[in-house]
Amino acid sequence: MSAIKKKQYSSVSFIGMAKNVGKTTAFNYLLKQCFVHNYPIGIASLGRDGEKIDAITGTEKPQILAAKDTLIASAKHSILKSSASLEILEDTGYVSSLGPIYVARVRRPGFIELATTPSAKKMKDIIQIMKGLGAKLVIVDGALDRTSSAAPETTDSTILSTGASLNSQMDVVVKKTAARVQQLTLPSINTSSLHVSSSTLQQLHNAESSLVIGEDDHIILAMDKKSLGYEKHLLGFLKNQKIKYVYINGAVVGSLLNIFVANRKTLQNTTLVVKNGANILVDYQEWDRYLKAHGNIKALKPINLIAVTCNPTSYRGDSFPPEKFVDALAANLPGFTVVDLILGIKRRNPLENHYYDLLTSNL
Amino acid sequence: MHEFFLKGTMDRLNISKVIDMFHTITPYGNRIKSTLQPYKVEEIELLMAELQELEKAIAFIHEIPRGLIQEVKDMLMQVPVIDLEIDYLEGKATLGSPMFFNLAKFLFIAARLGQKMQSVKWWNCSNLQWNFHENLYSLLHIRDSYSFYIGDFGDKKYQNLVKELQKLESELNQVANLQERRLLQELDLMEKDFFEGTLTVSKRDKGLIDKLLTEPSLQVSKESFASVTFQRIKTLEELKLENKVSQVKAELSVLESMILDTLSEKTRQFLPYLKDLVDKIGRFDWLLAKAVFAVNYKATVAKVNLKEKKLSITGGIHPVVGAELQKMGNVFTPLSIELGQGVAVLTGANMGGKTVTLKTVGLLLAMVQMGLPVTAESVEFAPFEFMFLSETEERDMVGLSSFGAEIQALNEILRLKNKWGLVLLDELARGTNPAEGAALARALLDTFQDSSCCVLVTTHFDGLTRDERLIHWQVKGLKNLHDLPCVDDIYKNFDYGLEIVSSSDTVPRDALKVASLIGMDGRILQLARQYLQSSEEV
Repeated sequence: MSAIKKKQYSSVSFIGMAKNVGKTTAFNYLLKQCFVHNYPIGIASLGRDGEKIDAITGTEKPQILAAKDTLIASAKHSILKSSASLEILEDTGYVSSLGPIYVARVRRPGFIELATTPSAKKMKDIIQIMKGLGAKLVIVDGALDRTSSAAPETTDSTILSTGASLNSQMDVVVKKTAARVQQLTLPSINTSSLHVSSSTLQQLHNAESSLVIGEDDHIILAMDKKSLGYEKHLLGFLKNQKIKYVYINGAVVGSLLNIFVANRKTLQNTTLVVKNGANILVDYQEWDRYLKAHGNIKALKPINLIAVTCNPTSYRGDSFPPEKFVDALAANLPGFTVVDLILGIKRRNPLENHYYDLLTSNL
Repeated sequence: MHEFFLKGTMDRLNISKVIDMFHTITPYGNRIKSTLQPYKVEEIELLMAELQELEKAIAFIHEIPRGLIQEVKDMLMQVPVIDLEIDYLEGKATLGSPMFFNLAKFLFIAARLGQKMQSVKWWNCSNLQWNFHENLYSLLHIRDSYSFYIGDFGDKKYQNLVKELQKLESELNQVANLQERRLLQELDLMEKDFFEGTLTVSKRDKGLIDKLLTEPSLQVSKESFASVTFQRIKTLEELKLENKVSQVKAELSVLESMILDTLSEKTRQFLPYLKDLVDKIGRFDWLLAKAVFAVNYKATVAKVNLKEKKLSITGGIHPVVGAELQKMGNVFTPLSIELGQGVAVLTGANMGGKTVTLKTVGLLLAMVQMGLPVTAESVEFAPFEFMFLSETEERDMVGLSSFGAEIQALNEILRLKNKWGLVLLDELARGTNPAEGAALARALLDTFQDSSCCVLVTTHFDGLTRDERLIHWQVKGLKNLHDLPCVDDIYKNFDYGLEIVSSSDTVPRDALKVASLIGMDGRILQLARQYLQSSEEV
C-alpha cells in the first residue's frame, strides 16, 4: 500500500499462478488498506468474482466487502445481486454476458459481486471512466492464469499470488514462481541500450501479426495469428537471412522456444520480442533450458510487478512451513517483496546475483 | 399486391451499400435505417413532407458551424437503449435500479439535446420538436446528473432507518475493534493483527499456540500442517448489535422494493411520452444522417412532379462508384437523361458504362423514393409504382438458364405494364442466338412502347434502334477521337456522357477499336474486320 501511494500508481492488477493461491485474499487485503486510509478507489474484475462459492473447485471463496464511496465496475446482473447499496453513475457502453456494465458508487457498505469484462481493451477504457469519476487507484482482479495474461497490460502495476495449491512440492512451487516472475518482468525493448530504431518500435506496436525483422529493420515476414505456423516459417528463414528481431504477437509456446534452443548459434544475435511476459506459456524447465541456451528475449509492453503474495496452505488442506516458504521464495526472487498476508511474514532479498545477469550475459 | 423492387432488383442495385453510407448514431436511428422502405404512390404526401423537411435540414446544416454537428453527434452517441424499460413499463413489471438509471440517462441526454437544438433555433425548420416533461424529470430526480440511487427516493422512515443502520454499524465496528485490541494487549501480541476476525499463528510458535488455546474468547477455526487459525468469539453485545443490523437491513430492503414498485407505477403514466420521445430521437438521428450525407456528397433533394409522368436526372452520380473513383483520384462523369412513358434505347461501345448508367438511374430513383437525398444536381420525378432492373451479369444459377430467368421476370413485368414503373433492361435477350434474340427484343420493346412503363434498355442489336418511335441515347465514347490514344489513355479519353442520336444512327462500332487498345493480336483483328465487311455487304 505504501509503495502504491509513494509511487502514485493509478491502477494495480492481481494475477494468480493457479486457483486458490490467495489472489482474492490479497485483493481484499489491499482493499482493506485503502478503506482504512480513506484512499478513493475503483474496483473491477477481469473474471467473475465475489461469488460465495468458487465456481470451479467448490471451495469457499472470500467475498468482496466494499466500503462507502468505493467505485465499482460491474455487470447489471451482479449489481442487482450485491448486498451493498449502490448508486449507478454511468454506463460504460460495454455489455457482458451478465448484462450491461455500469460504474456505481457504494452508498451503503456491503458485499459486492464483481463481474466486469475479460477484455483488456475494454478494461483500459473502464479504468479511465473510473478515474474520471474520482478513483485515485483502480484495482483490477485477474481471472484464471491463462486469461489473466491480459491483466498486467491494463494496469501500471501488478501483484502476483502464488501458493501451495500449485504443486505439493515446495521447491517446485518456488521454481515455477521464479520462472513466472522472470517471464513477467522481462526487460522492455524500449530501453536505449538496445539501439532499437524508433521506426522498428513503431512497427512492433502497430503490428497485428507476428513479425520477422531483418538486419536493415525491414519486415521480412508477417505471420498470421495462429501460433502453430510460426515454427515452419521461422525455420525456412534461418538458413538464408540474418534476423534481428522475431516478434510474437500472442502466446509463446514451448516449440517456439525450442527453435531458439536448437539454433542457438545462428540465432544468438536475434532478439525474441514478446508482447508481454504473461503471454509466455511454458513451464519452468523449458524456460530454464531456453534461458541458458539463448535468453535474448525482451517484452514490448513491460509489466511492473510490485509484490508477490504467497499462501502456504493448499486447497487440498496440506501446507508448507510458512516461514520456509516465504524465505525460499524471497531467496529466488531477489529484489521483490514476498509476503504471506495471513501470517504477516514479509521478506525482501537485495538485488545480488540477479537473474538479469543471466539475461544480459547473452547480449 | 406487388413489391416496389421487383425480382431481386434491390440486390442488383446493391441498395444496402448506399444505405450504409448514411451514418446513424443511435440504435433508434439504426432501426429506421435498417427497415427503410420506398414510399408507395398512395403515401406521396408523406414522401413530400419528408423531402421538404430534409431540404430544410440540409440548408440548416450548411449554415451552422461544423463543431456544433459534432457536439450533437456526441450527445446522440450517449443515448442509451430503453426498449427493455419500455417493455417492463408496458408489462406492468417493476423496474430495478439499472433500468431507472437507463431511463434517467436517456431523459437527461434527450433534454440536453433538445435544449441545444432550441438554442440554435433548429425547431424553426423542423416538426421534430420535443420538450422535456417537467413532472417526469422531477419524479426521477433528474437535475444536473443522471446517476440513480434508490436511497434518494426514500421517505422519512427510510432515511431514519439508514441513519440507524449507520449508527449500529459503526458501533459494532468500534466494539469489535476494541475487543480485538484488548485481546492482543492481554496476550501481549501487539505486533499481530486480526485479519477478517481471525488470527493465524505458525505452529513453530508452540508456546503461543498453547497460550491461545487457553484463552476463552478464542476458538480454533482452521488447522493446517503448518499453522493454526483462531477465531475470536463474539461478545453478547456484538451479537445483539449484529442482530439489530440485520433487522434494519431487512426492513430497508423491504422498503426499497416498495420504492421501486411505486416509482415504476408512477413512471408508467409517462409511457406515451417516452415512446414518442424514442420515436422522435430516432427520426432526428436519421434526418441528421441524411443531411450530413447531402453535405458530404453534394447531394440534393429531388422534386416531385405530379403533373407529368417523367424522370429527369441532371448531373447524376452513382454514389458508390462515384465515391470509389474519387478515392482513386478519378471522377465519375455526371449522367444527364430524361425519360418518360415508352422505351428509350441506350447504345454505346463496350466498356462505355451502359450498365453503370442503368444502375445509376435505378439507384437515384430508389433513393428519392425512399426519401433520401440524391447524388445529382437535380432530379425531378413522378413517384413510381415499381421498378425493375434485369440481371446485369452472368450468374451461376441452379435450375433455369439465364435466358429462362430473364423471360420469367419479363412475364411478371408485362403483367404490370399498365402501371407507371421504371423498367431497366440490360442487354435484352442476350442469352440466346442473335437472330432470334433481336427479333424477341424488338417484339418486347414494341409492347413496352405502348405501355405505361418507363423503359430504358441497353443493347448491341442494330435492329432495335431503327424504330422511329423509340428515343435513342448513345454513350459518346471514342468516336470523336481521330487518332487512337495509347492503352493507358483509354479511360481518360473515353467520353461517358450521353447524347440523343437519330434512329438512323447505328450501334457504335467500337468493339474492335477497344479490343485493339487492350492489345488483342493484330492478325485476329484484321481477320475480324474482313468478316465484318463481308457480312455487311451481304
